[in-house]
Amino acid sequence: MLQIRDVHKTFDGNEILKGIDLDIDQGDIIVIMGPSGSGKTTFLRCIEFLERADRGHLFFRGEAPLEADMHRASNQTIAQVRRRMGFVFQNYNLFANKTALENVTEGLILGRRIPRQEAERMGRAALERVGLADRMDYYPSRLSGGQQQRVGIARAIVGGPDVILFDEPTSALDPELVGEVLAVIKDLAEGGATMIVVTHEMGFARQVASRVVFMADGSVLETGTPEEIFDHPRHERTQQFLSNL
Amino acid sequence: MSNETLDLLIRSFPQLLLPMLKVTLPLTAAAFSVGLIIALVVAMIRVLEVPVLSQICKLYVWIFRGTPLLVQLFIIFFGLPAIGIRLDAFPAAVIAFSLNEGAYTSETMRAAITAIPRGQFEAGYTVGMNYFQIMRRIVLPQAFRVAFPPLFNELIALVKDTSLAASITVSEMFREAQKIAARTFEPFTLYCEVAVIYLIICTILTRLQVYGERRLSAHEKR
Repeated sequence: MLQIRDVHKTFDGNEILKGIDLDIDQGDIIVIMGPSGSGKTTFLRCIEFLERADRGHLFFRGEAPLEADMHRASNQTIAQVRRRMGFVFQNYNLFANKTALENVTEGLILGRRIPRQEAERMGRAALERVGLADRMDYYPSRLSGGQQQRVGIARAIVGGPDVILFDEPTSALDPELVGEVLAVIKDLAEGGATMIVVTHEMGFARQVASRVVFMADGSVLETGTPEEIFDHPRHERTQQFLSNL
Repeated sequence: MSNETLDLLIRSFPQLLLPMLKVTLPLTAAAFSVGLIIALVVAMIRVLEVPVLSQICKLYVWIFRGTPLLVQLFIIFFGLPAIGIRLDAFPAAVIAFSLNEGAYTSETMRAAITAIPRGQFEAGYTVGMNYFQIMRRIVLPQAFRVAFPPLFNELIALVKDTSLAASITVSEMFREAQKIAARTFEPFTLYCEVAVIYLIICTILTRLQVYGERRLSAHEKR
Protein backbone atom coordinates (compact mmCIF):
# COMPACT_ATOMS: atom_id res chain seq x y z
CA MET A 1 0.00 0.00 0.00
CA LEU A 2 2.82 2.41 0.86
CA GLN A 3 6.33 2.20 -0.53
CA ILE A 4 9.15 4.33 0.71
CA ARG A 5 12.34 4.37 -1.30
CA ASP A 6 15.92 5.48 -0.78
CA VAL A 7 15.47 8.09 1.93
CA HIS A 8 18.57 10.15 2.64
CA LYS A 9 19.01 12.89 5.18
CA THR A 10 22.05 14.81 6.35
CA PHE A 11 22.14 17.22 9.29
CA ASP A 12 25.15 19.53 9.50
CA GLY A 13 27.34 17.16 7.54
CA ASN A 14 26.22 14.09 9.53
CA GLU A 15 24.55 11.50 7.37
CA ILE A 16 21.59 10.47 9.52
CA LEU A 17 19.74 8.39 6.91
CA LYS A 18 21.75 6.50 4.32
CA GLY A 19 19.07 5.27 1.97
CA ILE A 20 16.13 3.66 3.75
CA ASP A 21 13.52 1.53 1.97
CA LEU A 22 10.30 0.35 3.52
CA ASP A 23 7.23 -1.42 2.15
CA ILE A 24 4.02 -1.35 4.12
CA ASP A 25 1.00 -3.46 3.30
CA GLN A 26 -2.55 -2.91 4.43
CA GLY A 27 -2.83 -3.96 8.08
CA ASP A 28 0.92 -4.15 8.64
CA ILE A 29 2.28 -3.22 12.03
CA ILE A 30 5.87 -2.25 11.38
CA VAL A 31 7.96 -1.74 14.50
CA ILE A 32 11.21 0.14 14.03
CA MET A 33 13.82 -0.43 16.72
CA GLY A 34 17.43 0.52 17.11
CA PRO A 35 19.86 2.44 19.27
CA SER A 36 19.37 6.16 19.79
CA GLY A 37 20.93 8.14 16.98
CA SER A 38 20.19 5.38 14.50
CA GLY A 39 17.82 7.65 12.55
CA LYS A 40 14.48 6.00 13.43
CA THR A 41 12.77 9.20 14.46
CA THR A 42 14.27 11.20 11.60
CA PHE A 43 13.00 8.60 9.15
CA LEU A 44 9.49 8.86 10.56
CA ARG A 45 9.62 12.66 10.52
CA CYS A 46 10.78 12.62 6.89
CA ILE A 47 7.79 10.50 5.91
CA GLU A 48 5.50 13.04 7.55
CA PHE A 49 7.47 15.92 5.99
CA LEU A 50 8.34 17.37 9.37
CA GLU A 51 11.90 17.14 8.07
CA ARG A 52 12.73 17.58 4.43
CA ALA A 53 14.65 14.54 3.18
CA ASP A 54 17.62 15.19 0.89
CA ARG A 55 16.43 12.39 -1.36
CA GLY A 56 13.67 9.79 -1.36
CA HIS A 57 10.32 8.81 -2.81
CA LEU A 58 7.04 7.84 -1.35
CA PHE A 59 4.27 5.99 -3.21
CA PHE A 60 0.75 5.25 -2.09
CA ARG A 61 -0.55 2.36 -4.17
CA GLY A 62 -4.12 1.24 -4.66
CA GLU A 63 -7.32 3.07 -5.49
CA ALA A 64 -5.96 6.56 -5.09
CA PRO A 65 -2.30 6.38 -6.03
CA LEU A 66 -0.10 9.21 -4.90
CA GLU A 67 3.56 9.81 -5.47
CA ALA A 68 5.75 12.29 -3.65
CA ASP A 69 9.34 13.26 -4.16
CA MET A 70 10.40 13.58 -0.55
CA HIS A 71 12.90 16.31 -1.36
CA ARG A 72 10.94 18.45 -3.78
CA ALA A 73 7.27 17.88 -2.95
CA SER A 74 5.10 20.98 -3.16
CA ASN A 75 3.04 22.13 -0.20
CA GLN A 76 0.00 20.77 -1.94
CA THR A 77 1.50 17.30 -2.32
CA ILE A 78 2.68 17.39 1.28
CA ALA A 79 -0.86 18.22 2.38
CA GLN A 80 -2.19 15.26 0.36
CA VAL A 81 0.33 12.91 1.94
CA ARG A 82 -0.37 14.16 5.45
CA ARG A 83 -4.07 13.70 4.92
CA ARG A 84 -3.46 9.99 4.47
CA MET A 85 -1.31 9.67 7.57
CA GLY A 86 -1.74 10.21 11.28
CA PHE A 87 1.20 11.16 13.45
CA VAL A 88 1.64 10.55 17.18
CA PHE A 89 4.44 12.47 18.89
CA GLN A 90 6.70 11.37 21.69
CA ASN A 91 5.76 14.47 23.69
CA TYR A 92 2.09 14.38 22.65
CA ASN A 93 2.26 17.99 21.40
CA LEU A 94 -1.38 18.60 22.21
CA PHE A 95 -2.57 22.14 21.51
CA ALA A 96 -2.27 23.63 25.00
CA ASN A 97 -5.07 26.16 24.49
CA LYS A 98 -7.61 23.62 23.23
CA THR A 99 -9.71 21.02 25.02
CA ALA A 100 -9.31 17.32 24.27
CA LEU A 101 -12.22 17.45 21.83
CA GLU A 102 -10.96 20.64 20.16
CA ASN A 103 -7.54 19.06 19.80
CA VAL A 104 -9.11 16.29 17.80
CA THR A 105 -11.49 18.43 15.73
CA GLU A 106 -9.28 21.44 14.96
CA GLY A 107 -7.57 19.80 12.00
CA LEU A 108 -10.82 18.44 10.61
CA ILE A 109 -12.49 21.84 10.71
CA LEU A 110 -9.59 23.99 9.50
CA GLY A 111 -7.49 21.56 7.50
CA ARG A 112 -10.24 19.55 5.85
CA ARG A 113 -13.12 22.00 6.03
CA ILE A 114 -15.45 19.47 7.60
CA PRO A 115 -18.48 21.21 9.17
CA ARG A 116 -18.13 21.67 12.92
CA GLN A 117 -21.03 19.41 13.88
CA GLU A 118 -19.78 16.54 11.78
CA ALA A 119 -16.21 17.12 13.02
CA GLU A 120 -17.39 17.00 16.62
CA ARG A 121 -19.27 13.78 16.01
CA MET A 122 -16.11 12.27 14.54
CA GLY A 123 -14.01 13.71 17.38
CA ARG A 124 -16.24 12.22 20.07
CA ALA A 125 -16.11 8.83 18.37
CA ALA A 126 -12.30 8.98 18.23
CA LEU A 127 -12.03 9.97 21.90
CA GLU A 128 -14.40 7.18 22.85
CA ARG A 129 -12.22 4.80 20.90
CA VAL A 130 -9.25 5.67 23.11
CA GLY A 131 -11.34 5.51 26.28
CA LEU A 132 -11.64 9.22 26.99
CA ALA A 133 -15.37 9.75 26.61
CA ASP A 134 -15.39 11.43 30.02
CA ARG A 135 -12.52 13.82 29.31
CA MET A 136 -13.72 15.58 26.14
CA ASP A 137 -13.79 19.05 27.68
CA TYR A 138 -10.56 18.83 29.65
CA TYR A 139 -7.58 20.96 28.75
CA PRO A 140 -4.32 19.03 28.27
CA SER A 141 -2.84 20.44 31.47
CA ARG A 142 -5.56 18.65 33.42
CA LEU A 143 -4.86 15.27 31.85
CA SER A 144 -2.24 12.70 32.84
CA GLY A 145 0.54 11.90 30.40
CA GLY A 146 -1.21 8.70 29.39
CA GLN A 147 -4.47 10.52 28.80
CA GLN A 148 -2.70 13.22 26.81
CA GLN A 149 -1.07 10.64 24.61
CA ARG A 150 -4.44 8.95 24.08
CA VAL A 151 -5.83 12.29 22.94
CA GLY A 152 -2.81 12.46 20.64
CA ILE A 153 -3.76 9.08 19.23
CA ALA A 154 -7.40 10.12 18.82
CA ARG A 155 -6.20 13.19 16.93
CA ALA A 156 -4.11 10.98 14.66
CA ILE A 157 -6.88 8.51 13.84
CA VAL A 158 -9.88 10.82 13.61
CA GLY A 159 -9.49 11.47 9.89
CA GLY A 160 -9.29 7.77 9.07
CA PRO A 161 -5.69 7.75 7.85
CA ASP A 162 -4.25 4.96 5.68
CA VAL A 163 -1.31 4.64 8.02
CA ILE A 164 -0.54 5.90 11.53
CA LEU A 165 3.02 6.87 12.47
CA PHE A 166 4.01 6.59 16.14
CA ASP A 167 7.23 8.28 17.22
CA GLU A 168 8.23 6.63 20.51
CA PRO A 169 4.70 7.08 21.85
CA THR A 170 5.48 5.85 25.37
CA SER A 171 9.01 7.15 25.90
CA ALA A 172 7.92 10.31 27.71
CA LEU A 173 5.48 8.50 29.99
CA ASP A 174 5.85 7.46 33.60
CA PRO A 175 6.22 3.66 33.67
CA GLU A 176 2.80 3.07 35.20
CA LEU A 177 1.13 4.95 32.34
CA VAL A 178 2.80 3.07 29.51
CA GLY A 179 0.34 0.19 29.67
CA GLU A 180 -2.80 2.19 28.95
CA VAL A 181 -1.25 3.75 25.86
CA LEU A 182 0.10 0.47 24.52
CA ALA A 183 -3.32 -1.09 25.11
CA VAL A 184 -4.92 1.56 22.90
CA ILE A 185 -2.32 1.02 20.16
CA LYS A 186 -2.84 -2.74 20.36
CA ASP A 187 -6.56 -2.28 20.14
CA LEU A 188 -6.12 -0.22 16.97
CA ALA A 189 -3.76 -2.82 15.55
CA GLU A 190 -6.28 -5.56 16.18
CA GLY A 191 -8.92 -3.41 14.52
CA GLY A 192 -6.91 -3.61 11.30
CA ALA A 193 -5.07 -0.28 11.37
CA THR A 194 -1.82 0.03 9.45
CA MET A 195 1.03 1.52 11.43
CA ILE A 196 4.69 2.27 11.72
CA VAL A 197 5.80 2.38 15.34
CA VAL A 198 9.19 3.56 16.55
CA THR A 199 9.52 2.16 20.05
CA HIS A 200 11.78 0.48 22.57
CA GLU A 201 8.95 -1.65 23.96
CA MET A 202 10.11 -5.13 23.03
CA GLY A 203 7.16 -6.87 24.66
CA PHE A 204 4.79 -4.77 22.60
CA ALA A 205 6.77 -5.46 19.43
CA ARG A 206 6.66 -9.19 20.08
CA GLN A 207 2.91 -9.23 20.57
CA VAL A 208 1.81 -6.82 17.89
CA ALA A 209 4.40 -6.37 15.16
CA SER A 210 3.93 -8.06 11.83
CA ARG A 211 7.47 -7.00 11.00
CA VAL A 212 10.36 -5.62 12.99
CA VAL A 213 12.87 -3.33 11.32
CA PHE A 214 16.19 -2.95 13.07
CA MET A 215 18.04 0.27 12.26
CA ALA A 216 21.56 1.35 13.16
CA ASP A 217 23.69 4.25 11.94
CA GLY A 218 21.19 5.41 9.36
CA SER A 219 20.65 2.06 7.67
CA VAL A 220 18.30 -0.88 8.02
CA LEU A 221 20.45 -3.70 9.38
CA GLU A 222 17.84 -6.39 9.27
CA THR A 223 14.12 -6.88 9.09
CA GLY A 224 11.91 -9.85 9.86
CA THR A 225 9.17 -11.22 12.06
CA PRO A 226 9.49 -10.54 15.80
CA GLU A 227 10.65 -14.15 16.28
CA GLU A 228 13.34 -13.79 13.65
CA ILE A 229 14.68 -10.54 15.04
CA PHE A 230 14.35 -11.18 18.75
CA ASP A 231 15.17 -14.90 18.91
CA HIS A 232 17.58 -15.30 16.01
CA PRO A 233 19.14 -11.96 15.22
CA ARG A 234 21.70 -12.32 12.47
CA HIS A 235 23.73 -9.18 13.05
CA GLU A 236 26.07 -8.76 15.96
CA ARG A 237 24.84 -5.19 16.31
CA THR A 238 21.25 -6.40 16.75
CA GLN A 239 22.28 -9.01 19.30
CA GLN A 240 24.20 -6.39 21.22
CA PHE A 241 21.29 -3.98 21.23
CA LEU A 242 18.76 -6.61 22.29
CA SER A 243 20.93 -7.94 25.10
CA ASN A 244 21.15 -4.42 26.52
CA LEU A 245 17.41 -3.85 26.58
CA MET B 1 -3.99 70.26 56.61
CA SER B 2 -5.24 73.82 56.32
CA ASN B 3 -8.73 74.54 55.15
CA GLU B 4 -7.42 76.36 52.10
CA THR B 5 -5.41 73.34 51.03
CA LEU B 6 -8.38 71.04 51.46
CA ASP B 7 -10.53 73.47 49.57
CA LEU B 8 -8.00 73.62 46.74
CA LEU B 9 -7.79 69.83 46.58
CA ILE B 10 -11.55 69.53 46.30
CA ARG B 11 -11.97 72.37 43.82
CA SER B 12 -9.18 71.20 41.56
CA PHE B 13 -10.20 67.56 41.60
CA PRO B 14 -12.85 67.79 38.85
CA GLN B 15 -10.52 70.05 36.86
CA LEU B 16 -7.95 67.25 36.93
CA LEU B 17 -10.29 64.30 36.59
CA LEU B 18 -11.91 65.71 33.49
CA PRO B 19 -8.69 65.95 31.41
CA MET B 20 -7.74 62.53 32.77
CA LEU B 21 -10.96 61.07 31.40
CA LYS B 22 -11.14 63.19 28.26
CA VAL B 23 -7.48 63.27 27.22
CA THR B 24 -5.11 61.07 29.20
CA LEU B 25 -7.14 57.88 28.97
CA PRO B 26 -8.18 58.30 25.31
CA LEU B 27 -4.57 59.10 24.42
CA THR B 28 -3.42 56.00 26.26
CA ALA B 29 -6.10 53.83 24.66
CA ALA B 30 -5.43 55.10 21.15
CA ALA B 31 -1.66 54.83 21.43
CA PHE B 32 -1.82 51.40 23.01
CA SER B 33 -4.23 49.99 20.41
CA VAL B 34 -2.29 51.36 17.45
CA GLY B 35 0.94 50.31 19.15
CA LEU B 36 -0.38 46.76 19.53
CA ILE B 37 -1.26 46.54 15.87
CA ILE B 38 2.17 47.87 14.86
CA ALA B 39 3.78 45.46 17.30
CA LEU B 40 1.91 42.43 15.97
CA VAL B 41 2.81 43.25 12.38
CA VAL B 42 6.45 43.93 13.24
CA ALA B 43 6.69 40.80 15.40
CA MET B 44 5.23 38.61 12.63
CA ILE B 45 7.56 40.09 10.02
CA ARG B 46 10.53 39.42 12.26
CA VAL B 47 9.42 35.92 13.25
CA LEU B 48 8.87 35.06 9.58
CA GLU B 49 12.15 36.77 8.70
CA VAL B 50 10.58 38.45 5.68
CA PRO B 51 13.48 39.82 3.62
CA VAL B 52 13.86 43.64 3.45
CA LEU B 53 10.79 44.26 5.65
CA SER B 54 12.51 42.46 8.48
CA GLN B 55 15.50 44.80 8.17
CA ILE B 56 13.24 47.84 8.10
CA CYS B 57 11.47 46.64 11.23
CA LYS B 58 14.77 46.12 13.00
CA LEU B 59 15.80 49.65 12.12
CA TYR B 60 12.49 50.99 13.41
CA VAL B 61 12.77 49.15 16.72
CA TRP B 62 16.39 50.25 17.07
CA ILE B 63 15.56 53.93 16.55
CA PHE B 64 12.50 54.08 18.79
CA ARG B 65 14.03 52.11 21.61
CA GLY B 66 17.30 53.97 21.36
CA THR B 67 15.97 57.53 21.65
CA PRO B 68 14.05 59.22 24.47
CA LEU B 69 10.29 59.37 24.16
CA LEU B 70 10.39 63.08 24.97
CA VAL B 71 12.75 63.67 22.05
CA GLN B 72 10.47 61.67 19.75
CA LEU B 73 7.52 63.83 20.83
CA PHE B 74 9.51 66.99 20.13
CA ILE B 75 10.64 65.83 16.71
CA ILE B 76 7.12 64.92 15.66
CA PHE B 77 5.42 68.03 17.04
CA PHE B 78 8.07 70.76 16.82
CA GLY B 79 10.42 69.26 14.24
CA LEU B 80 8.20 67.98 11.44
CA PRO B 81 6.69 71.44 10.61
CA ALA B 82 10.18 72.37 9.41
CA ILE B 83 9.74 69.89 6.58
CA GLY B 84 6.16 70.91 5.98
CA ILE B 85 4.31 68.38 8.13
CA ARG B 86 2.14 70.21 10.62
CA LEU B 87 0.22 68.19 13.19
CA ASP B 88 -2.09 69.18 16.01
CA ALA B 89 -0.77 68.36 19.44
CA PHE B 90 -3.09 65.43 20.18
CA PRO B 91 -2.55 63.52 16.91
CA ALA B 92 1.18 64.20 17.18
CA ALA B 93 1.13 62.67 20.66
CA VAL B 94 -0.85 59.64 19.45
CA ILE B 95 1.67 59.07 16.67
CA ALA B 96 4.70 59.42 18.91
CA PHE B 97 3.33 57.20 21.67
CA SER B 98 2.06 54.60 19.18
CA LEU B 99 5.38 54.32 17.42
CA ASN B 100 7.26 54.14 20.69
CA GLU B 101 4.84 51.62 22.15
CA GLY B 102 4.93 49.55 18.95
CA ALA B 103 8.71 49.28 19.07
CA TYR B 104 8.79 48.04 22.66
CA THR B 105 5.74 45.81 22.39
CA SER B 106 6.92 44.15 19.20
CA GLU B 107 9.85 42.76 21.15
CA THR B 108 7.52 41.47 23.86
CA MET B 109 5.34 39.80 21.24
CA ARG B 110 8.25 38.36 19.30
CA ALA B 111 9.63 36.83 22.46
CA ALA B 112 6.21 35.41 23.35
CA ILE B 113 5.69 33.88 19.91
CA THR B 114 9.13 32.29 19.85
CA ALA B 115 8.49 30.94 23.36
CA ILE B 116 5.73 28.65 22.05
CA PRO B 117 7.24 25.19 21.48
CA ARG B 118 7.90 24.05 17.91
CA GLY B 119 5.83 20.96 18.63
CA GLN B 120 2.67 23.07 18.50
CA PHE B 121 3.43 23.94 14.88
CA GLU B 122 4.37 20.38 14.02
CA ALA B 123 1.16 19.02 15.51
CA GLY B 124 -0.79 21.56 13.50
CA TYR B 125 0.93 20.52 10.29
CA THR B 126 0.25 16.82 10.91
CA VAL B 127 -3.49 17.46 11.20
CA GLY B 128 -3.52 19.42 7.95
CA MET B 129 -3.47 23.01 9.14
CA ASN B 130 -1.32 25.59 7.35
CA TYR B 131 1.10 28.07 8.90
CA PHE B 132 -1.37 30.91 9.27
CA GLN B 133 -4.13 28.74 10.67
CA ILE B 134 -1.70 27.40 13.25
CA MET B 135 -0.53 30.93 14.05
CA ARG B 136 -4.02 32.30 14.45
CA ARG B 137 -5.68 29.44 16.29
CA ILE B 138 -2.89 27.82 18.28
CA VAL B 139 0.24 29.93 18.62
CA LEU B 140 -0.97 33.52 18.95
CA PRO B 141 -3.56 32.73 21.65
CA GLN B 142 -0.86 31.01 23.68
CA ALA B 143 1.66 33.75 22.95
CA PHE B 144 -0.87 36.33 24.08
CA ARG B 145 -1.20 34.52 27.37
CA VAL B 146 2.59 34.66 27.76
CA ALA B 147 2.77 38.31 26.70
CA PHE B 148 -0.19 39.48 28.78
CA PRO B 149 1.66 40.45 31.99
CA PRO B 150 4.45 42.36 30.21
CA LEU B 151 1.89 43.98 27.89
CA PHE B 152 -0.03 45.19 30.90
CA ASN B 153 3.19 46.55 32.39
CA GLU B 154 3.69 48.52 29.21
CA LEU B 155 0.12 49.80 29.36
CA ILE B 156 0.62 50.99 32.93
CA ALA B 157 3.88 52.67 31.98
CA LEU B 158 2.14 54.33 29.06
CA VAL B 159 -0.59 55.87 31.25
CA LYS B 160 2.10 57.64 33.21
CA ASP B 161 4.24 58.50 30.18
CA THR B 162 1.36 60.40 28.62
CA SER B 163 2.19 63.15 31.11
CA LEU B 164 5.11 63.92 28.78
CA ALA B 165 2.54 65.12 26.26
CA ALA B 166 2.13 68.17 28.47
CA SER B 167 5.41 69.39 27.00
CA ILE B 168 3.92 69.56 23.51
CA THR B 169 0.83 71.42 24.76
CA VAL B 170 -1.60 68.49 24.90
CA SER B 171 -4.16 69.38 27.57
CA GLU B 172 -3.90 66.14 29.47
CA MET B 173 -4.14 65.95 33.23
CA PHE B 174 -0.59 66.91 34.10
CA ARG B 175 -0.65 70.04 31.96
CA GLU B 176 -3.88 71.13 33.61
CA ALA B 177 -2.23 70.59 36.97
CA GLN B 178 0.68 72.76 35.91
CA LYS B 179 -1.72 75.53 34.92
CA ILE B 180 -3.61 75.40 38.21
CA ALA B 181 -0.34 75.26 40.16
CA ALA B 182 0.93 78.35 38.36
CA ARG B 183 -2.29 80.19 39.11
CA THR B 184 -2.59 79.22 42.78
CA PHE B 185 1.11 79.00 43.73
CA GLU B 186 0.39 75.58 45.30
CA PRO B 187 2.64 73.20 43.34
CA PHE B 188 3.12 70.77 46.19
CA THR B 189 -0.59 70.22 46.71
CA LEU B 190 -1.42 70.04 43.03
CA TYR B 191 1.34 67.69 41.99
CA CYS B 192 0.67 65.39 44.92
CA GLU B 193 -2.96 65.31 43.93
CA VAL B 194 -1.97 64.43 40.37
CA ALA B 195 0.29 61.69 41.68
CA VAL B 196 -2.57 60.21 43.68
CA ILE B 197 -4.88 60.20 40.67
CA TYR B 198 -2.24 58.39 38.57
CA LEU B 199 -1.79 55.98 41.42
CA ILE B 200 -5.51 55.23 41.56
CA ILE B 201 -5.73 54.66 37.80
CA CYS B 202 -2.71 52.35 37.85
CA THR B 203 -4.09 50.45 40.82
CA ILE B 204 -7.31 49.84 38.92
CA LEU B 205 -5.30 48.64 35.92
CA THR B 206 -3.28 46.28 38.12
CA ARG B 207 -6.55 44.80 39.39
CA LEU B 208 -7.68 44.33 35.82
CA GLN B 209 -4.41 42.58 35.06
CA VAL B 210 -4.94 40.07 37.86
CA TYR B 211 -8.48 39.43 36.66
CA GLY B 212 -7.37 39.09 33.05
CA GLU B 213 -4.57 36.70 33.89
CA ARG B 214 -6.98 34.52 35.80
CA ARG B 215 -9.35 34.36 32.87
CA LEU B 216 -6.61 33.71 30.34
CA SER B 217 -5.18 30.85 32.33
CA ALA B 218 -8.50 29.01 32.23
CA HIS B 219 -6.87 26.26 30.22
CA GLU B 220 -4.27 25.75 32.92
CA LYS B 221 -6.72 25.48 35.75
CA ARG B 222 -9.89 23.75 34.69
